[in-house]
Amino acid sequence: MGTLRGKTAGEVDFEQLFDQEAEPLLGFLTLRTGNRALAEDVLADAFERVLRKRDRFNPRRGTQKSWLYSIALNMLSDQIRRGQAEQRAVERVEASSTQPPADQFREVDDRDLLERAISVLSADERDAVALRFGAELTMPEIAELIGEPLSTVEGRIYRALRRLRDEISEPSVGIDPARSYKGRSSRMEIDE
Amino acid sequence: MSDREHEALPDDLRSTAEWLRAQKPEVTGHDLDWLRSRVNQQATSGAPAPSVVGRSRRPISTAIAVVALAGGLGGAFAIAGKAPPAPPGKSASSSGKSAANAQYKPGKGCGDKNHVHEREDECKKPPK
Repeated sequence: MGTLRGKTAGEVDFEQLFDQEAEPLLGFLTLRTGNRALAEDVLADAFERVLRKRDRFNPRRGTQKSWLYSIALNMLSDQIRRGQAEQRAVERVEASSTQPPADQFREVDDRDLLERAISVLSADERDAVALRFGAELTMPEIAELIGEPLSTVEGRIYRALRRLRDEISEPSVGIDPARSYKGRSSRMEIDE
Repeated sequence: MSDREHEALPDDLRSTAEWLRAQKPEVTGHDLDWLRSRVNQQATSGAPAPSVVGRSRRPISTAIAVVALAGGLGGAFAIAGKAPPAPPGKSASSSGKSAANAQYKPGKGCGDKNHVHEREDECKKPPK
């Protein structure tokens, strides 16, 4: 991973790390969770941990960037486990509610679509695509971070992209993945 | 994504990758400043700061309770009409320069050795 020198051996330059990695990390967490508020919570917690334990960083184990992402991944796992039980309860409530037919084709906002799209992926696939396209980590960086071979990471990302392509190209969703997209909206601003 | 990696994706997967990138949040400098201050606040307070999702406000409520309690002690003395306890080694009458002592006369009244007279004949009994 990219180098980030600490002020002294074993100490993290928090400000520099935040300046360089806050936005990419938020991108990863948002793609991973489909929820920006949750992503901000996890990001704040991860940087708080880095700030509190910055003198315990061991450069022999990896870079400060990989350390930060490891912390974020662990916190995310904890957060997701806590939220899963709550989510199951919410889904039960939603399943029991009746909707008029017209709502089936109502406009889907960006957050709903992202959450639905990534829900078809496994946890490992979500991590991989979110690290690749949310944080813009390279394949070798991702492989080093999650401790998997490069070929495994590549296969996982391609498989995840195919699943996402199939999911977002559903007629009810109305997105054609063959077309290029500009801007932030998941509804098409098609480059025709 | 390097050019090499970008070119390795088939067209349909490349579009999906572009769609994913388009879902990344827009982050302003203000957003980053807010997040940075939030991190510092969490780190110094020892408890999570309030967020959009909603977190424990324990540090704030604790601080408010402490301030209210401290304020309540002074108010309690005022209501009782008594002066706050004098500092050790000093009589209540000698501490009359404080605002508390100016308002609340020390001592329990005439007959008390610590009572301070405002007038010379304040405690003299009227003739029968």
